[in-house]
Amino acid sequence: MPRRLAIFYSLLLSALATLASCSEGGYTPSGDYPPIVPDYVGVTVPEGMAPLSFEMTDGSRFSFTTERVGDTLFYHVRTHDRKTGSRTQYKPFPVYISKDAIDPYIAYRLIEPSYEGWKEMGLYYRELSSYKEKALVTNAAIGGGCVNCHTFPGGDPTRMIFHARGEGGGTIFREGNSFKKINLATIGPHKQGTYPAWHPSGRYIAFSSNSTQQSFPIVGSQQVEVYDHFSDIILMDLQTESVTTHPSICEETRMETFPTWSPEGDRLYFCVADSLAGVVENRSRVRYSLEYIPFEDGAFVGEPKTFYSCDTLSLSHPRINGKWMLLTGSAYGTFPIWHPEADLYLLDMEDGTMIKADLLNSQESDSYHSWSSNGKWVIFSSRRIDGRYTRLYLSHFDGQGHFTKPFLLPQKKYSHNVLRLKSYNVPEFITGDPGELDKEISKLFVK
Amino acid sequence: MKRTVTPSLLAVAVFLVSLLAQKYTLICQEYDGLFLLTPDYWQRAWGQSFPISGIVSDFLVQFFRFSLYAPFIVTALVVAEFFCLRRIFPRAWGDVPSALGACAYWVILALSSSPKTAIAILLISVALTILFAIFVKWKKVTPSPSVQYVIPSAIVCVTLIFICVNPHVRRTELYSKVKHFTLYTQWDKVIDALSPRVAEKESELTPFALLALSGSDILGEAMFRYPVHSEADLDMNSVDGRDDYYLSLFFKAALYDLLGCENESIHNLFQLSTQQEKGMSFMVLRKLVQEYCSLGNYTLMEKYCRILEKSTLHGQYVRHYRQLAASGGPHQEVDSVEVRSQIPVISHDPLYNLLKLESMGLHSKAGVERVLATFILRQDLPSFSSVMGMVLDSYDKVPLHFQEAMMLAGMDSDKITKEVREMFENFMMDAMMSSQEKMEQKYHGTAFLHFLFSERAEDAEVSSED
Repeated sequence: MPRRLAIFYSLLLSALATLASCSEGGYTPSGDYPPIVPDYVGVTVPEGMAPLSFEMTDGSRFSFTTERVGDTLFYHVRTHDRKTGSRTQYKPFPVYISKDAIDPYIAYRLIEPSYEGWKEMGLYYRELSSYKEKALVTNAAIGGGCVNCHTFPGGDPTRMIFHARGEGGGTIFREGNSFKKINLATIGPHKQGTYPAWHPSGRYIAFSSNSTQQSFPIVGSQQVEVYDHFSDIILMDLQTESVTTHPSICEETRMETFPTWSPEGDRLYFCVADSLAGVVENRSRVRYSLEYIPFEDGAFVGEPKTFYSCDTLSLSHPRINGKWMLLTGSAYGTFPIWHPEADLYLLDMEDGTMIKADLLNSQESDSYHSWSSNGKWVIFSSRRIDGRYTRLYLSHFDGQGHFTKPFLLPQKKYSHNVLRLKSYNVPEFITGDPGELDKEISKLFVK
Repeated sequence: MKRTVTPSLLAVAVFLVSLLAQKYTLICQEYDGLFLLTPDYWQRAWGQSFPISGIVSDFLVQFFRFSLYAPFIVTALVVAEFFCLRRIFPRAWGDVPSALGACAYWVILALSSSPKTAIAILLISVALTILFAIFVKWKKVTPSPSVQYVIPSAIVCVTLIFICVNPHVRRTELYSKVKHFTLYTQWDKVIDALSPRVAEKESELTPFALLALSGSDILGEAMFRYPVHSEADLDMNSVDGRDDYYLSLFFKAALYDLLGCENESIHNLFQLSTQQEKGMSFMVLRKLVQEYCSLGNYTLMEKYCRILEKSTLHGQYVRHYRQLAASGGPHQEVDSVEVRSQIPVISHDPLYNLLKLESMGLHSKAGVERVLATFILRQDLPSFSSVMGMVLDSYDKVPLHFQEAMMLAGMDSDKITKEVREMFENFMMDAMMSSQEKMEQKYHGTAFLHFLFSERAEDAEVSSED
């Protein structure tokens, strides 16, 4: 009996060993990195980032394990093609982990990339260390209108503004737990605010005031074009709640837009183009350059001066980080999100040289961007997945003019990026949890 | 045996009404519905009022896509409500209260745009039934035949008639039928559903009748059989922002699809989705798959396929389009900056859009005929003559109304028939002598009459300024 048992056990063991060797040896090693979507191979992520999730590009089943070696996380990916029965063990791909901290939250708008209309939209915020997304303000709180252009000074979650469009709309100001709605169009030069820029002192906000319209090309790959008929810049003093402007940035013959302050607050940079009659027909001639106007003691002084101009690029949305300015450049116009050629450019403000931020850019539109509060990370929007729906990408910046390969904001499952029917809009870093504000905001809209 | 009379009659009645009098209404509920196993859908679904009934309703409505499933589901809901009520009310009362309640429930279901409210009621009824089953024991008595099945049967019959003749139900069914056949470009069925007499009553649907004529290439032959007074009847362009905005967006999506302008069709589909309760619908998703497949934008087509795959019933649909894409034409190229910046954009003037479509190479017979029809409706004979002169050779037989307009414009061609020439001569003579009433009787359904009595837009403006 013991002998029989010994034979049985030895047979069982050899069978198990054979099975084990099959499962180990059944995988054909590949010298290539796995073909995954999104492309996370060799990206740099901050410590504590929510885990990256991905799919095989051909949709095949896969499994992976991770192994951390120093500041590099290696992903070991194995695939199993059920149809052919082939099993592949890919070369482990690295994900580099940066010690540079990132702000814990981002805020953005979610909206259908539809056209003129929307049903449900809102400003949302997301914890970067997890997949938690919460509604900051939805348009349900303001009676179904549009909420846009949210901004937080220095990423401070307790201070913010955003515009609420529609009946009874206005600009909403948050100071801690106090909320206020002001219709900018009813005070000062009677212009409504659009793109905001909060002065480093926190006292002033420069707004562009744009008359924006959409049009729809009859044929071709571009389905929407957005342009301004006119735009000017206004300044709001939060202390006195007054709105002023300056004649040289409020000219009928020019369109001034996308204001941004220098870190010291002594200059306001903005984009500017000549006004054109028949802007739709002549849209290819509308090119924005970069100018600035000095700012002293709460007022603009002197005349605007050209800071950067280029015959082949229309510049939009400058954002400054120390001596670096990140801009979006497109062939023409003021709304690069609908321009596949739109790319991000980095301007050295000390020597005036501008380079294309190649590592960040793609074949599709790469556009609206923001710096983290420490200037080490940048977040931007890109339509590289499908050319229509904007998704968010993050990249590390070394302060010397170099970015790392950007990575798609991770979701619990990559498919969320495909299944979501809304675009991410105006991503901004915030340094804390701003809370859900629908209840407070709706009180401002009670008739 | 007698206890089965009322529920059986109720089931047959509900099934037949749902199948025959509300078939397209129910199908169109699926068009506007959405049920997806995606995080965003569930987040939205739980955030709505009465989330459970909303989710159950969305789940059931997706089966309405198949015309036989919908009557079964509606019947099941009404009969379920009947049995719940039967358990709640004392047995001595027979089926009278349960038939009354179930019929009221049926009416609610028939008049609603989705079963959400009805499902909420049913859920409450089920809860009450369970409570009654636990706590209330009714005496077992045999009710009289009158309360057992005679009166309940009468209630069911009255409800059946009420629903069948209800103007709201009939109107919704007509609109749904038109919507359904337009969506599937079954133009002959649109024309069948929208006779000139029907269009007279439902003037909002006239543009759909004219669209169907365009789709059948008989616009120039038959448009004046319909109550056409202005361009708005042709292009539905003047309703933006009004209550029928949804209908106008649906119309424009179908119109531009017919004209081969996918960009504008997609534009209107997206706009349409924002007018729908859930901000997106099965119909829009399916149309987006079709339009992007037709454009060769397989990336976006695949996106919407993946979304549809998260529903219950679109597996075959998605496979079909993936196969089409795999064997289809080339991928849509991204236009160069130079090309892109020169492409004209859609305007609010449908005629301008039609002309631009032609200029961009999107030529279609329907497009040309709509241009000619627009000039006739504008009473702009010089422009009509100019365009007609260019396309005359392409016609073996010039459509009737275009011949009439040619006569009015003084164009001479051997393609104008003898009958039209004679009618024109008679018309000219009668115009001087006959009353408006007589002229309307004699020349009803001709372009001549449009020129005689319709006010030109420019004239109307001048007179209003005076």
